[in-house]
Amino acid sequence: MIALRIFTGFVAAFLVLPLVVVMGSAFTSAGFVDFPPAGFSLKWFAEAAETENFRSGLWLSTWLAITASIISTAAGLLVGRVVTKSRTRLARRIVGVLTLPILVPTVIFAVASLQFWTLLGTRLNFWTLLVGHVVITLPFAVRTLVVAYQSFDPRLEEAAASLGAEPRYIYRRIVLPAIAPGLVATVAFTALLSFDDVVVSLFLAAPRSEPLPVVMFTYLDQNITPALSAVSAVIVVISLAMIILLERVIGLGKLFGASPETN
Amino acid sequence: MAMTVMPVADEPSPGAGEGNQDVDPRAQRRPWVLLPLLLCFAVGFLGPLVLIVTNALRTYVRGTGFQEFSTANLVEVLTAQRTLEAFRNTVLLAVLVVIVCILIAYPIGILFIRSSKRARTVILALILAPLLVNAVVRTFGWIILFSPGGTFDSLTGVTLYHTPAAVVIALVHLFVAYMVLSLLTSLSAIPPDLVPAAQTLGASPWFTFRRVVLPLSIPGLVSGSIIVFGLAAGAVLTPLLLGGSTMAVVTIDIYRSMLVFFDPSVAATLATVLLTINVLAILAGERIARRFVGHQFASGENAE
Repeated sequence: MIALRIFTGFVAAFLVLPLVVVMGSAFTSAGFVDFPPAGFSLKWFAEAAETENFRSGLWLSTWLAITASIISTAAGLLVGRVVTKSRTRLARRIVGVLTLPILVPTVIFAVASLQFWTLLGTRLNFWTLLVGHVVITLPFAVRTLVVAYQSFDPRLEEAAASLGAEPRYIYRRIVLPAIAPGLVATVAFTALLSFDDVVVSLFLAAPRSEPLPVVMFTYLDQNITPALSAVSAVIVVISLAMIILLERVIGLGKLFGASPETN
Repeated sequence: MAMTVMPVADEPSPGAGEGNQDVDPRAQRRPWVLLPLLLCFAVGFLGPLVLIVTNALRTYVRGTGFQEFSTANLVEVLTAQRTLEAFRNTVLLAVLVVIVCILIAYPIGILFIRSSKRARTVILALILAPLLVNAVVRTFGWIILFSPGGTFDSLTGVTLYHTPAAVVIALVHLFVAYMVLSLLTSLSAIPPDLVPAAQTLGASPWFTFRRVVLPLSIPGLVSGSIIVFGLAAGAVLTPLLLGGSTMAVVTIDIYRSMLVFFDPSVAATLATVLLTINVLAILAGERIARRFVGHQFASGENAE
């Protein structure tokens, strides 16, 4: 048992190691990336903040994340509601179809999308990229919200209706608050997935208008500087905030499908 | 109601308008309300996939585009030495990553089922948290660690930059959490009295593990393996950035042929074959898992 605990501890340390390294290298006072960093300085954060590429990338990524999250969550709400109310095999098949993207390697979908838009003659823009992001975030929204709706007791709705409440009121004051944890988790998780996406954005982003991860990838490929570390450090902090939020709201385990419940 | 949040961009939805929901709550129960959503989804997701498969089966002329259907293109790309090597490398890499992930995930799984609820939450948080961080950032960390003159180099004198080993380590880092999750699903389903029962009947811990726990965990292992295999076979960033020229995998070829050489025909072909491999792996995995689940319930004994 002790051995298992130590092993798990090592694995956890292994998982965190690259993140620590990247964050640490951002504080260097030298002109190149190294870990442990040479000296201590915040100048690279200032440098990163002034780099136009990073700024526009961050802006685009944020907008994409917000929009993709709203669309996916709305769609997930709709699907969850309909599927749990109807309980037909068709409903289950619909959920199956909508969660298909998880099974397809992202790079295949990305390449296919690019050829698709080329065929249609559409220039690559925010909307074509958004469609890609929605496709990859929708399965998680559907999955999480269907589960959330399933744990909601429909008798509460019926009780409220029998007391004279209108459907709109019931949905707003009874159903939504009950699925609130799942809802918040979906919004946060889909936003994070979109924000983190690299492969789809790599293929579908218009030139000179790339989300932050793609900008970072280009730097990583051609021009590694501590400014990149600084950007990465900020991203790790943002992700950390999301992680804590998700853990508090719904528990990371449940988000991915595992539960800490002992049998 | 939530229906008012319907976006304009890709969902014209006459059937799911706000008014309908309010007037007839039973409309919510009819699945065809989802039809507009499904249509958009078909266009956004299934359309591209169908296209890429058909593109792989057509000839391509630069400047004009895809022409008539023929398998000539497919044959040409697939019989090239380079392509066969790339696929071989991809499969080897993916299998290796799966094996290492299993070796790491299993002890964690065992610890999980033996832990209290509080400890389980901690374990889950620790293992799952890194999944939410950008893949570029995580790969960057490994680049810093493994680059010549970097931390790992100074500590051990071994440079792993641009080696397959570095790619394997980084990919395991990215995907091991998914293996743990899958495994936990199976392990958690084992009735907690089963192990003590075996032991009261005289079984040694090793025997209990080998003949009781291990077989019951196979479905989770298989499903985790499929997931990790697909992820590792489809990884682009990490082999590209960490492996350099030592990692000639299919995904890098897809990336290069599409975005660097502007040859959609090769990209389509490679992508289609990779997709096929993935689908076959999923189907094979499901068949294997089903055999073990069947055994479990049929005879009450464990599959050998």
